[in-house]
Amino acid sequence: MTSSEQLLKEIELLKRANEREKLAREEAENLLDTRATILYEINQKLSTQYDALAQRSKEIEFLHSVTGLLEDGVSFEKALGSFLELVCRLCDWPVGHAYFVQRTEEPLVLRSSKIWHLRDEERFKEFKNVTEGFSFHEGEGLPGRVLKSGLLHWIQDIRKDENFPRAALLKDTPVRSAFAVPIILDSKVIAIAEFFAGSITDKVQRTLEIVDAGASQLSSLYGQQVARNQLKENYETLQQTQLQLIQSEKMASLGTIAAGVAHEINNPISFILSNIDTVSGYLESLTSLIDVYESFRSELGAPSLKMIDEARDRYDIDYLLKDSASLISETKEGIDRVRDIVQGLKTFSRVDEAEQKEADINECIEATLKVLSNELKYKCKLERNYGSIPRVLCYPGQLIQVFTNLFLNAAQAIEKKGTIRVGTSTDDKEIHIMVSDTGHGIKSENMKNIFTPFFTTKPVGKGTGLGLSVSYGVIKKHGGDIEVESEYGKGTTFKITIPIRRAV
Amino acid sequence: MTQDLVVLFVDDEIPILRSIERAFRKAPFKVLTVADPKNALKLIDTIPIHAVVSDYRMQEMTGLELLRIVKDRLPSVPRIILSGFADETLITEGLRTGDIHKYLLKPIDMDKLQSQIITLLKGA
Repeated sequence: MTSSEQLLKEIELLKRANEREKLAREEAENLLDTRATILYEINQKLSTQYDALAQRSKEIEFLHSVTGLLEDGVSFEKALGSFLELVCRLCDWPVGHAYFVQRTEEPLVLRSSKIWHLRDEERFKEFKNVTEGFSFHEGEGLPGRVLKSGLLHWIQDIRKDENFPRAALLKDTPVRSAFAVPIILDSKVIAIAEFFAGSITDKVQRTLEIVDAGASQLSSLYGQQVARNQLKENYETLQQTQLQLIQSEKMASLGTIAAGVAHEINNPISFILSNIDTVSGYLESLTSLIDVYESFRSELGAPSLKMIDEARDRYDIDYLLKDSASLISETKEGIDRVRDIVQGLKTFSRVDEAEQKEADINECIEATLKVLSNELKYKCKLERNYGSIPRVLCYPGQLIQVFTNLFLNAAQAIEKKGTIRVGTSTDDKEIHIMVSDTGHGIKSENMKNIFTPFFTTKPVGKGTGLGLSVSYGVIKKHGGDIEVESEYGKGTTFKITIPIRRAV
Repeated sequence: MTQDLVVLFVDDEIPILRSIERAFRKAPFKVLTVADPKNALKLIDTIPIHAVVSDYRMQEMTGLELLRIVKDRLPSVPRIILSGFADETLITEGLRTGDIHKYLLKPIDMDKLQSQIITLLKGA
């Protein structure tokens, strides 16, 4: 082999090697390209996913915040304001506003709640004024359409929308895209929240769905709050009813005790009274006998007379004879008082059931005043204000007893001169009776006790403490109510209500 | 009217009976008293009784129950409940059916009681 042959061979070899190398490099470059493309795509995907995740996180944060809107007794108005702000932040929109549905009006009307979220007060000032001056009926404008459908409504551009009456009143339109959602309580739309973008914005179905979910969440939270308040109110009513029940039960058991006591006392009173009469008769007989003895004085000798007179002195007979009459009458007076108390107790315990009949309460009051005129006329000016009231089924005798108690109390409360006012009126269901005086009033610490049996602030012997408790029992028996208002030093007013019942 | 007429008083409280005996010592009728309603029933079977006045609430039986038995045995004899406390619905029923002729409340003025008894005795 020549040297040139050798060289050619080498060149050939190098050429082939070069060729191979070129092929390999091309292959590697291709591979690199493919890899790079894949990497780019992965990167792109990652970026999109990141954005989506960020959006999800915003959405979750939004829904989470909505959940906390009505915590700790926050008012619905305040929660609505926060909701507007949250939605504006979620969508990155500048305007949120809410309407209330005026349920008292027919047909339904939507009026601005004056609750707003504005990113730029100055820019949207005109739009705000126009909106607040507007009211919408069902189907009118953006909120009216939501009121009608109960569903979220989207407007791509308010300038091009045919049902956006506000646009006509705006000099320039700082808002373009818009949507509104309903707040629903008990399947009724109670409020509507509307939102506006400053420019035409693409509709993002997913975001709208999230806002809609938020609005439903707010609705259900408000529903819970309303239910909770209702529950609280019911509980308080229940508690009040229970207190009244305890009170009437207390009265009833006192009544039973009173009835038993009345019976127990009536027996001894019965024989004490009878025996006092008997003793009185015995004393009269003895006195007559002594008179007979006296008439024979002239026939007795001086020693006998002396002994008789000494004995008379020793036993204080002159005084005894003189005093025995008042001794008997005072004792009887005491027993009479006991008997009156027992009588009061019996009325209180409703032992003595008289007949029910239809009566004119104005007449009952007049009858009472007639009986009491002596007690009242010297120090009380009477002012009557009788309304035209129907006759009612009642226990007239017992009502007269109640009026007697009230008038006597009123008169006793007045120290020198004062006024007693009595009035009646009706509202077709009940009869209202009012008795007021300008007397010394009731101290606030005594108010809770005034209907309690035996409670009295009067001196011993002046009051039994039964008058008002008896009155209470009588009025309750009529299915009515008796209330007292009093200002210490100024006077007292009793208000009685009696349901109107007619004889069948 | 003579002392031949006998009025029977039934009350489980002895002092009441004693006070009645005292008050009616001079009444135009003879007073008999018993504290036990069962003894009252024995008495009406043995001697002539012309009126019965009974308390309502007693240990053995109520005055109304007693007077119903009296009515069965002596229908024409006047029967009076004298009580400080009674079941008014039952008493009203007793008055309506004629089991008793009168219902009087304790405490009562003895003169009044006497005139009530006399009126009933005259009517009987």
